Amino acid sequence: MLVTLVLVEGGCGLLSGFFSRLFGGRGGGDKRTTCSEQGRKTAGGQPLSKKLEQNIQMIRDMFYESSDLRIKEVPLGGRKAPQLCVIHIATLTDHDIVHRDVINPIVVWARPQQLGGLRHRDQVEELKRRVLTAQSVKTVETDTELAGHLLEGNTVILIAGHTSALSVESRGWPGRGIQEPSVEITTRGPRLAFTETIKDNVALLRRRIKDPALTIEQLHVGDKSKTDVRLCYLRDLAPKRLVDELRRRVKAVQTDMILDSGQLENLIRDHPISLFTTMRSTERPDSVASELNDGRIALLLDGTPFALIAPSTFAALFVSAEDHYVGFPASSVLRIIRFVGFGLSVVLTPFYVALTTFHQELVPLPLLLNVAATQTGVPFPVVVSALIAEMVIEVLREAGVRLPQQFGPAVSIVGALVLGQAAVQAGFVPPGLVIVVTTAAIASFSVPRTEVIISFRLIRVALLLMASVLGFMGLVLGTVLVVYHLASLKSLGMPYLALYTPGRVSYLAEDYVLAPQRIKRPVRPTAAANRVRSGPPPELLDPTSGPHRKGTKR
Amino acid sequence: MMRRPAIRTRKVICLMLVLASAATATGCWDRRETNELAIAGAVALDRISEGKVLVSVEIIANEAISGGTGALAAPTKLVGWVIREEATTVPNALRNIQRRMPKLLFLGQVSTLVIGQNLAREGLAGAVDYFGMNPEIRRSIYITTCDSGSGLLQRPFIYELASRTLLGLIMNSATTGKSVAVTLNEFLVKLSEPGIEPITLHTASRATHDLAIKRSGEDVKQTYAGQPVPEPLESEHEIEGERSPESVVLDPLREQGTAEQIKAVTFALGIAAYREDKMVGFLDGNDARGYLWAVNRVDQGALEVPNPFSAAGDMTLDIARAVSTMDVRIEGGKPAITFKVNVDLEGAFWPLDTPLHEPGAVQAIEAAAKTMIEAEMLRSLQIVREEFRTDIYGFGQAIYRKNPKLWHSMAEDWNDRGLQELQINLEVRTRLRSPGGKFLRHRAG
Repeated sequence: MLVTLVLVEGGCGLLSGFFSRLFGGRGGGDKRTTCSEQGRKTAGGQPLSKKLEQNIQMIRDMFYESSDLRIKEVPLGGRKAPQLCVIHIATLTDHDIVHRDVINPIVVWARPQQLGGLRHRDQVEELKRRVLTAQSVKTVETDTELAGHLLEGNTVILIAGHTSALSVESRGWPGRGIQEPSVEITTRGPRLAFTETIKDNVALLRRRIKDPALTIEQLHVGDKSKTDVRLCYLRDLAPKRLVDELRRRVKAVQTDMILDSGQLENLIRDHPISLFTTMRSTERPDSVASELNDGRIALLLDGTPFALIAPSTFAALFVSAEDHYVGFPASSVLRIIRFVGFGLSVVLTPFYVALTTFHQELVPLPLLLNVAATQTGVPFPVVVSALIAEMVIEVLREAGVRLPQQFGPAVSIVGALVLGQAAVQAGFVPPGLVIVVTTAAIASFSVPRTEVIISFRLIRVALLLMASVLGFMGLVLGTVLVVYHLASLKSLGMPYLALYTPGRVSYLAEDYVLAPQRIKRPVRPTAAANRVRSGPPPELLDPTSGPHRKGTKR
Repeated sequence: MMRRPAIRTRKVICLMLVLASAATATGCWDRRETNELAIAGAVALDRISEGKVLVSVEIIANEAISGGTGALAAPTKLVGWVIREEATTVPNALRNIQRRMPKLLFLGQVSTLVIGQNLAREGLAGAVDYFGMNPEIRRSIYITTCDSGSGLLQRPFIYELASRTLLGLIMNSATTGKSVAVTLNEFLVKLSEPGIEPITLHTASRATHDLAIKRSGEDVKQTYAGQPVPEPLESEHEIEGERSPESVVLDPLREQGTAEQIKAVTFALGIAAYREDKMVGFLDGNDARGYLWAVNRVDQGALEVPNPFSAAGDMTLDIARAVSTMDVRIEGGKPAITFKVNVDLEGAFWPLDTPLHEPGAVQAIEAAAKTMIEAEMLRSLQIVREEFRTDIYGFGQAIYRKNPKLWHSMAEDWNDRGLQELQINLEVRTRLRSPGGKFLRHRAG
């Protein structure tokens, strides 16, 4: 039994803190920091040569003659030998920019009469300042730096006799247009979601917060992927210590590839083994804007339509973007319903199992008889039936997620109707249990954060096992353990159960019952300063009742 | 990062150990699959042979109530069994029952404990105490006495199961104001407390003119337990008038079915009074209400009042609200009890010539009702005091709360002496809240 218990708890990560402490898991953090500091020297590498041919050859070697590497050599003035060379990777650059703003001006400028009176040194300055019409021109000193610029989609200009090159920003690659959110769907509110292009994402965010305090820091993660990470926060609201800590963590990441924000999240979140994620991920720019306005910090990653937000609390799991858009009674009720849905999804099946195997006296008699009758033909104990049913539902759900859209309905019909009906009729699963298990599964979708739903399911299975061994006592013990674990979590130093733990009714009220602004002004409990979010709402005057008096009442 | 102090680790290990030990404390052997239970709906105790108790347990067939369609649910009419065993004690009898049950006997859903009159009159402390201590049985189940405890479980009416019939009967009979639902807990508490004696609801089977309508083609006698319905007991309380013929075929039902007379059904008759653990008698009908007025347990009911205006016929008043308190005064070292009863009434039935419009009519009706209530109360007081010689009102307890010393001096032979000498006053106030009789008033005006 002890083994079961340990398996149960180990499996759901409840005692993750215990294990990590036992095996000194926390000690790893220091090592990681020191290692990655060495690894972050991207600006290293060999300085460039004065000889143009040598530099070109170096680049050719570096890219192994990649077919999309384009090198255009331009002779300067009247000389025969090429004095200048424009290099870009064709698949990463915007051809318009390269031709219109780089190659064209250089070729025109390179005629002998233009260059006549200039000294060699001045030619570079002239080139940089006046010839290249592109927006951003930077100087590059070393070969790795040069390669980095090329790989970011910049166009590099090498000049004979110079140990520095010019880099012109010319990014441009095929990408997805901005589309509607596919995961966080709301009935009201903006219909824009982030895309894989970070430039677009930052633009979406900037358009929502027209405040110079919105700071967007650029960081890079991944030795090979060099993923562009933007640390976004409102300078006047986000606590500086949190910003510093998050920046430090991102910088300390030492890995080769970051392809999605989830990868980064797993590396930098506070409790890597816990089932509960302590960072929120969202694909909605309006959600990010709202979180920033609460003094939180967002991470945008290139190549990911999901932004990460920290700190994030347990209470935030039940927040949907549209809560502030629809009226307060509706959104308050909805939040409570979501919380109830969470409770149902976690507790309902274990509760049922405990009830029907330990506490039959608590079941109303007609229901008990029904349960007993339907259970009669089933060869397995209720727990096993429940586990089978949970398993089948998980498989169905997983299959449904992976399936191409055309097959989706077919599978759900086969799964839900045919399989469910047949399973009940064949006596594999009692019908009452099917109701309970499916209700729990559906209830889990009432939580607007899809990434935690699977965690809830795992907890449910753990509770199920405990309830099947100890009845209600097991259920209560399991719940206590979950709460114990939740209480031990922190997100960027903020307690994960914040808003519940200090027992501040005003926080809870803000979180669960969204009082209308006319009664109570919204607060930002997590922000460093400026806690009251808005002034009093506009006064309501009745335009049909005679001339308006200024400041009618109070 | 700082390493957590070792004490935390130790704490967590301690927690684990506690949990592990909890796992051994209860667990697997306590779990029982629902379909492996023989769910009992009611238990009846009776005495047939000297020194032995007859235990009847009604086991409900799984599909009985819900009509569930389980995988292997057989299309049967079987709804339950009544299993009987006689043994020297209740647990022995239950063991004997278990001995021939292929499923585990489960008493957690028992809703009613029926005590046969024979056993009740000889004393049932041990038997009832067993149910009070049994961890499976809730103390909120109802306890009722019956003229024949074993017979009661065999006469289901409306519901197909006797336990459901009984439960419905007990819960709904309180609306008459002439009986009361008594839980096992209340019974045990009163049994153990000095100065108050327990009561139960008293039920009995009585002959009726009722008809049961059956679909044609089905054998009525096969509907219960697959066994012939036992012949009803011959009751000494025959309903007046002629008995209906054995079986009546009603015209409208000629096509679909037949109506068969139910010879006897269970009635919630009144209140059984106990002296300690022995039943000493029961209060029937208005006598029961006389007691219930006093102990503030009348909620609803119909009060028949002699017509104060003419002898043409009685009028019936609905009891809308009844509140009573018991006051104790000590006068000259002797306790005196005053019942203060406030009753709100509503008109329900009048003879057509009732002069409701006349001044003083309402007062006259109220006075008549007051007289009626006082008469009921006095009569039941007299029966309880002189015939039963038991303190089911809880006078002793009230005196104890007022003056413990006085009570201790009287407690010794309270039922036989103190109770008999007790001075009891009635203060009944009636109010006719809505006289009714709208149409009559128009005619009279």
